[in-house]
Amino acid sequence: MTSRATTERPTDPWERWSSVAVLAIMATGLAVLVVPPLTRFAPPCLFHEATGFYCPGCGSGRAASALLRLDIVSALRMNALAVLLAPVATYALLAEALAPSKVDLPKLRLGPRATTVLALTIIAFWVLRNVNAWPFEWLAPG
Amino acid sequence: MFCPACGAQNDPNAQNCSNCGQPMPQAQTPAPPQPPVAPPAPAPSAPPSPPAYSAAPSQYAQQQPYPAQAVPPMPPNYLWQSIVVTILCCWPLGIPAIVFATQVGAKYGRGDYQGAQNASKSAKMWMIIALVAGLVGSVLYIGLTVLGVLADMGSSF
Repeated sequence: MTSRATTERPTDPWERWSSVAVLAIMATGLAVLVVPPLTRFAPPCLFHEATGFYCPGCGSGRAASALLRLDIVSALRMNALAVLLAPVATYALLAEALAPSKVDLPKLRLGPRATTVLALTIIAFWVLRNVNAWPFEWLAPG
Repeated sequence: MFCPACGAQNDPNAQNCSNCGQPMPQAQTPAPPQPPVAPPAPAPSAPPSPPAYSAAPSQYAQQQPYPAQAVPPMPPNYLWQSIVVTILCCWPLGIPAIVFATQVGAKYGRGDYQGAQNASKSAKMWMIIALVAGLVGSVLYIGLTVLGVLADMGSSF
């Protein structure tokens, strides 16, 4: 670890290690989708099993495997939000996970308005993908 | 502080050595002449130094109240961790984390630094609860699947 001064604030160890943990979970999830003996562990969505409604993450597994086949259109049809957010989230988490090291990515910091818009977008996506009518069908997996 | 007579360690404010009873010198600065009836001057303690710029998150809370000029750094909001955890499994626990994450920036922007700090702590708590719940659920699910796989293998023999 270097003693380079950070420009914004001292790095919170929780922020760093939770980013590492979440990245590890994402990597594990990808492995479960790709490595054949592990694919049987790919879990269904318990919320969808229980209620029949889609959760904000439903279809993200199928979207990820479509992306791995470079089939972007199918990926967007499975879970557009996850496909659009995944690169941004991966970058933001990487920047936080690497913060005090020599590889210093500029951190992605959203202002309060952008953060609120993002949170409302996720909730709106969740609600609208359960509306089975034009023009919202493409938000639901399938 | 150490007793000059016997070398025993003593409380910095001690008047007499706890080991040998000799009077202890009052710390470094020579005491100004005291009126005879005045209570013994407390040992001069170091003025509270400003908190070191350290990584400990608790430092933020100890700096209250903030001087008008010093704007503290924005506390972490754990937004991306919360979003990923929400989407991947645990929205009942991740949604509160996202809501608190939005409050961190909003309160910080309004100058409510203590409120931002509290929202940051709440966001962290919900994010960690969601993370742990997701991990425990995954381990349970994988365990049950492995049991099912083993049962299938057993039935095929």
